[in-house]
Amino acid sequence: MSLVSVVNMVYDQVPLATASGEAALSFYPWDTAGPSMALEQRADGDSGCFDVVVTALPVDDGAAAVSAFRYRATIAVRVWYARGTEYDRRLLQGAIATDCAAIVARVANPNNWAAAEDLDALMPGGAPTTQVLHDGAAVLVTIPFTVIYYEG
Amino acid sequence: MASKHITGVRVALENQAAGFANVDSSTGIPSVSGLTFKALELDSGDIVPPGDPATVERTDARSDWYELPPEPDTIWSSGARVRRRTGSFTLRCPLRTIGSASAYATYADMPLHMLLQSSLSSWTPAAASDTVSSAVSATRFTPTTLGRWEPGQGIAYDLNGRREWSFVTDDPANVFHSPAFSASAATSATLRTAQTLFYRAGTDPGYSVCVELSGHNWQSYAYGCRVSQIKVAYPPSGAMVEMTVQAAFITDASASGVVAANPTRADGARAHFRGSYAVVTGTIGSTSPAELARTRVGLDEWTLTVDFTLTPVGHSDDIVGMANLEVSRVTASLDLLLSSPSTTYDSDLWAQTQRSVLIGLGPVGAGNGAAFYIPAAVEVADPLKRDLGGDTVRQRLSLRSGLWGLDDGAGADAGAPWDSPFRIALAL
Repeated sequence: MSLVSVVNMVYDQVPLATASGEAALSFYPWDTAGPSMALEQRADGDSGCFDVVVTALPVDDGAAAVSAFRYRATIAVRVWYARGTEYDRRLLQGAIATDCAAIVARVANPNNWAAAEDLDALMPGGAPTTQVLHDGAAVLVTIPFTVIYYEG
Repeated sequence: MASKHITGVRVALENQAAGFANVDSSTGIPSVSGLTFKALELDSGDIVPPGDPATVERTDARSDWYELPPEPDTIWSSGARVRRRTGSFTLRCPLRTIGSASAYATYADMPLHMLLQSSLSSWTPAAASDTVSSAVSATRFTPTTLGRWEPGQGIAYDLNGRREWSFVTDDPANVFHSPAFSASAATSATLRTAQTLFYRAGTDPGYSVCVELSGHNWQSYAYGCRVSQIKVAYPPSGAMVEMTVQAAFITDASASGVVAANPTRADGARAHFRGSYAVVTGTIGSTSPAELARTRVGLDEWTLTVDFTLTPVGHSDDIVGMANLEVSRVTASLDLLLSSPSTTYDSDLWAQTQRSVLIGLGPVGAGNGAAFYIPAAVEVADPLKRDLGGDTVRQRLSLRSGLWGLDDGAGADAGAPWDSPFRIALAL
């Protein structure tokens, strides 16, 4: 399995997580076929669009072998939230927290991806972070995951 | 120049050839002749040349302060002393199960299972699965094929997207099992059976193994091996099995040191605790066959340790100096760190309460997941003494395998794991 396959699988999993319904009705992928702009450059539209990015390239994870080693990499699901000027910040924060939990529960549950050949683990990679964009008009939430897989 | 970063381990059952330590009858020295090795999936960090030379320090009287060469404890062959080391080494393996049984047709073929069965008995069910003919209760079902179920063997059931585990306690017509599933096994549902590793006094463990440890320009063979400790922990990346392997005889073949092959990984998924259950029952009582209700517990950590006392059965026929390494005592320990303390367990030490404790691992699907089961766990620490090692107050249960006699083994097939005080189930 390649890291690209893992990223594609996560693209498939995230829309199956149940969004909070307050700030986002559903999660939908941003320009998977070839983005016209980066997600963080987006300035309008509905909340809930996301992408999946590789944040740390694969390193050897220490398995014994001649070749075909086990690798460890880090990816992140990034979810974009539009925050209109009238939007209640408390509700937005609550929605983000709920959505993070839903995405982590969906993506990290091995019952959802263990059939993927050569994927050993897809686990939470640390605390999600937020980035305020466009003078407060949008918030980008980054949810990291650690991937352990066999290349090949 | 040789890199130390390419290493490998292969395992062979010694019953394929001459038995324990595979001693060549014409030389009295172990050899790899007749052994078929399988490459083990494991972490490379612990793979080093194992063992210490078997020598005796000389205490002869001497005329000055000088050292005498230690006396090698070995035999002579072709005019030279035979190189001999003894000792133990550690292997860390991902816990991966058989999956679709393509890479390995049976658990008996899998090198991880070869190591586990070297000190445990292993029970193979008649088939990998069965369907429920009719639902009865959370602790009973009517099977389609009764002959696929024997007292003591593990059962895996996929319910609500999670893998649940239990163990058969009787099979008169319905199958009785304990602890309970979270709901009745539904009519027409598929239940998976499990390769069940266990110990029980009077039941011999499996075959000894030969282990080949290799790197660039070095290679060691350990003969007459059995595991002296199995330790299972759960890092978020999936369950790891750490095995300490005791060898009766270790020698080198470094001149031909190469890593022969990549490990052949089994088809199953790495076993994960996420998406499965840890289950504790009430007091086990005395009703046989047992059908105990379950309580799911949230755990921050758990560690399983199984210690085997290995006793050499001595003889002088060959360089190995023993006819077998016999398992003379076993203790299974399970330490649980409960996320939220429960007053239910506070008095277990003082009341000498025994409960069944089961750690289930997923994921769902054929040949995936595993379970560790102590049917009569004895508390050996005070659960009321809260654990303050984290930011929250938690409760630690320190459990040992106690006496279990609530499986009904009447009429069971020979070798079935009923009434065993500790079991490992590997899904089929």
